[in-house]
Amino acid sequence: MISVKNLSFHYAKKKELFHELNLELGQGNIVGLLGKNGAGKTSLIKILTGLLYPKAGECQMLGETPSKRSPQFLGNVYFLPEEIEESNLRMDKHVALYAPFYPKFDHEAFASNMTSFGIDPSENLKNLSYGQKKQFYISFGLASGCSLLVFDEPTNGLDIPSKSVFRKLVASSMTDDKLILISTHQVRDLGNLIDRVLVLNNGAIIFNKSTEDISNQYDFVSTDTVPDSTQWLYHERGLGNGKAIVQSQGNLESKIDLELLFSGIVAHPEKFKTTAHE
Amino acid sequence: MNNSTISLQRLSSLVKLTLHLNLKRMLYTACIGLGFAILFIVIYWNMDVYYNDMVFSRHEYLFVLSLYISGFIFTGSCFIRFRSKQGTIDYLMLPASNTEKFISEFLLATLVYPLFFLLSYWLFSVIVNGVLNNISQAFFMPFSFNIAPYGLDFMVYFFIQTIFLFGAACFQKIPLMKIVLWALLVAAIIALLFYTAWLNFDYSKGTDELAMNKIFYSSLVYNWHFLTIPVGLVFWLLAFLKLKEKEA
Repeated sequence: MISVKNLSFHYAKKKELFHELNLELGQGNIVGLLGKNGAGKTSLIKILTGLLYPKAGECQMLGETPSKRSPQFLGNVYFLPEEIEESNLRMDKHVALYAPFYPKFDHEAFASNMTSFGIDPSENLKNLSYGQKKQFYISFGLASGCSLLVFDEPTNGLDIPSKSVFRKLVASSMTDDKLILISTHQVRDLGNLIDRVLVLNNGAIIFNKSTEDISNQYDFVSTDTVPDSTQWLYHERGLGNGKAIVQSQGNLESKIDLELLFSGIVAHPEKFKTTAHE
Repeated sequence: MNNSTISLQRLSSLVKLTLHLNLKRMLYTACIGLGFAILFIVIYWNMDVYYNDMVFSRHEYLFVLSLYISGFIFTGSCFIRFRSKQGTIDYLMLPASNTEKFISEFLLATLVYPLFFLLSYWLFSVIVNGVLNNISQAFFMPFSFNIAPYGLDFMVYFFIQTIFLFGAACFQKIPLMKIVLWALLVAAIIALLFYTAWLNFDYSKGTDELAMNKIFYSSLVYNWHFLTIPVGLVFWLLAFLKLKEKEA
């Protein structure tokens, strides 16, 4: 579904952001694109959606070149940017005007998503808070029927209950023919939602593993459980017991701590290298 | 035509969307045009009776002036969504081809707005006629929809409008000022061309005696209004190419 080969990119008069980047992502995944501020997440997303053009290399999405931005391609890709446009339309009017551009738009799913968020579609978008606007656009995107959904910092502005609704809706709208790419630096918000983790740092993908592989390879433990610090790939001190990532021995059941993993990968990328088969 | 370039279904959805997003802008701009019309009526009102009668029984000046002012402001603010980062993303990610996006803006500025203004002006003339009749038995004949006498005015309007459309596609930062400067530059070039033509045109000679190098100038002087069509088409094309360049 997404195939990036030797992609290089830089902004005008700036140093190279991506150098010969490679990435393959298949459908049926919810991918978390993680990275610190300025790591290049939004730029990568913009290249994938055809809003920026690569300087070198190849980028294919859904079998098409995004930079050509054909209507068929755009009708199959929904991008929710971090900052959303100020709109002066009523939400139901917005749907009536924009839905015809998405051939597989599901009006029932949209109504159900809106109900889950508790928003009345007869309200005007300009009267909503930033978080409510995000909820509307998330509801629209999930109902659009697009094969590729790209959300850039979708949980920014959402309150805690809405973040939970967001996770439920994304999980329930996922089908085998879709790929949902969620870019965020609020790693905690994606807990239990994603099935692949991509970490971008200084313009390079330094980690790309499925959550299954992560579970098989690493254990997330308290420093009490594994007191031998030589086994720790990464650790953080806490108020009580600290937390650590260790190589899995197969005898511990642990839940993935995305925040700890992300911090570990960024601090010691060499310890979390992705192998070719992953 | 290739479905990825133009699909009638998509185009009609896009025209509907463009119309909705610009309804308020159309209304406000028409109000500006009619505001100017009111201003001129007030100025004329303070002049002598003869002049009042002359102006109030004819619409040439008032209609054309208010259409030009409001129409150019409206066209100059086309592609307004490019002026914000979010608007640009929304515009670019909309599933339609750039040809369709251009056509929808073009139809709005070139056909829909003048028609909307025509209706607004007619309504305005009916109201003003009623008001003036009540307060001083003065006449302001309701505007007739027979627009044939305005043919040349419309031709010039569409021509100047193409210059503004191109300007709107080019400038996003302090657009109005840049577009006006741009239009003045084009006007200066055209004026220079006509001035040269005027200098080179020898009225004392008959048509048969005109030298070949003067045929161009004579046709320019006599048929200037026909030149607005090809030059206007060039500006439309340039505006389209500029829009394509922005997408790249």
